[in-house]
Amino acid sequence: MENKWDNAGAVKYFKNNTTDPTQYKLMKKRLDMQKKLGNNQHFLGNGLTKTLLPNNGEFGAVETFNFERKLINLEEFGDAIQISDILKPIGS
Amino acid sequence: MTKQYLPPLSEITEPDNPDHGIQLIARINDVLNYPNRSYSFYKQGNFLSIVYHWIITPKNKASYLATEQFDAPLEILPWFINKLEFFRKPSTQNGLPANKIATDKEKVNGEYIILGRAMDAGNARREGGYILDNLDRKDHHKISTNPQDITFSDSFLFEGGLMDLWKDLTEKYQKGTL
Repeated sequence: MENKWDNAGAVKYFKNNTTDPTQYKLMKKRLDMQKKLGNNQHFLGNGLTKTLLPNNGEFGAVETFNFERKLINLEEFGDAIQISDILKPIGS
Repeated sequence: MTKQYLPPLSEITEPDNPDHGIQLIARINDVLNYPNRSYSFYKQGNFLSIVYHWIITPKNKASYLATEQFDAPLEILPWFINKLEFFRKPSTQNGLPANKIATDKEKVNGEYIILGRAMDAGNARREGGYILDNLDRKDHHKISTNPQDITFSDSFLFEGGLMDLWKDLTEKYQKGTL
C-alpha cells in the first residue's frame, strides 16, 4: 500500500499476507464496501461515525450515504438541498 | 453453495512477455494518479485480458511485480461504452433507474458482467469511478474465491486517456482489425 487510499495495494497486501481464504474474503468485502459505498475507516458499522475530536465521547455524527452516478456540482441541486453553515460538533 | 466459474484463461504474470498466442494490444498508465502503474490490454483469442501491474517495494524487503487480471469476452469493449452512457443518464431519459447503484447483471457473450459505481476509486483525490465485475471468472490469485473486478477512477477515464483508448479498441474490434 502506497498510502491509505490505495485500495488496490491493500487488496494485494491481503492476498499475499493472508493464509485463510475466509479471512481474505472478509477483508475484501470490507474494502469493497469502502470502494462501492464510500464508508471509510471511520465507519463503525452501527450507523455512527467515530468521533475525531478529543474528549468528545465515543461516537460522532450519524453516518449517511449518498450515491452519485457521476460527479455532480452541489450547486446543480439548486434549492433541493440545504447545507447548514452552522454545524457544531455534538457534545461540545 | 460454491460458485461455479468458467475454466480460467491464461494468467499473464510477465506483462512484457505474455505466453505464446497472447497479444499485447494497448498499454496506458494512470499518469494523473499512479504514474508508475500500468494497464495492459491483451487479446487471448476471443477474450480481452486487462492486467493492472506495478512494482511494490515493501519495507525491508525486495521489490516485486504485482499483477491483477480482469478477463472478459472482447464484446465487453462496445458493451462498456454503451453501458456507461446508460449509467450516466438520468432515469427520466431512460438511463439507470434512480434506486440503482449498479446495472443488473447482463450476459456479454455468455458471461455475466456488471457495471457499478465506485464511491471511492482509491486515489488521492478520493474521487469516484466505475467498477466492472465478471461474475463468471474467478480471481486468478489462489487465496481468492471472488469474481474478478477492475476499477477505473473518473479522472483516469475521462481526463487520463482511458476512455479514448477504450473507444479506439472498440472501433478496431468492430472493424475486425483488433
